[in-house]
Amino acid sequence: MLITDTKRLVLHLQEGSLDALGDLYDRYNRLVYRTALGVTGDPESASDLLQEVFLRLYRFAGRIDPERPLEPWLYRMTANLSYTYVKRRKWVQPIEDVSDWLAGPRKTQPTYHAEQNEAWRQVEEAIQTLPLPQRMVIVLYYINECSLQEVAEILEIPAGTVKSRLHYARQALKENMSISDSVVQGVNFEFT
Amino acid sequence: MNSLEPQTEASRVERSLRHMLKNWAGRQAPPLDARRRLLRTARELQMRQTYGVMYFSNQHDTRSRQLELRSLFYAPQFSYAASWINF
Repeated sequence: MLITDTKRLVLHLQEGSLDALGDLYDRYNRLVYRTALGVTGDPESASDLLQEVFLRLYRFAGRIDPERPLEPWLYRMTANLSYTYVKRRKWVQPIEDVSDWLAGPRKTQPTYHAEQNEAWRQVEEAIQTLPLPQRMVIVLYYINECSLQEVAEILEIPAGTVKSRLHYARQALKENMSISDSVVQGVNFEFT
Repeated sequence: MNSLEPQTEASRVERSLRHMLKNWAGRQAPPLDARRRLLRTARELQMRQTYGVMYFSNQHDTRSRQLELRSLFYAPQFSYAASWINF
């Protein structure tokens, strides 16, 4: 039987189907990954968070209402886990810095950055300079194209707060990304 | 908006931001082995729940849990299960 809709997939997942988990992963992995990457700024961490979100989806499938859309649940879970991760990293980072130094230069980082051109790196860095609450809003509103109301519901904050965070985040990004014609032209647009 | 109408600074910034971030997002994709890794871990979790082996600690990160799971399934007392699960 061909399973096509999310509701049916969630029902199968609630019965413990790994195929349903795979299908839901295929459908939503980019949504979760880009959200986690936008918030953490680290591909390795985003990859771990991706695993964590889908494992929780699997473990707690019974608590999900199949009648409702799955995206808000995924966004909320990703946002919460990413938030916890970033908060925890503040404490763990100094120790990791020492262990990285002891372990020598990391092989993955230069390769990763080599693939990015200057403009894209500027975008990533600009997002990471934002305070965490503003970063969350930017990631959901611009990167995932959620509406103001959806962002408010996902983050469980008033829509007015979303608007004000967007306002300040826009200002900061404008300065950090020094939005000008040269930067915009430097980014190789690929409409996806 | 009429294309001949001069754009305000705010709308230009908004448009630039939207394009940049949307296109940045379009370039991001998880590692290729992430799906396989997820299903393997979920299968291990399923087996663990089925056999009621142990409570799944919530105090480690994902990677630690995977190591924990792996070590658990390769422990001698579970070697039989591990052999037919074929991890």
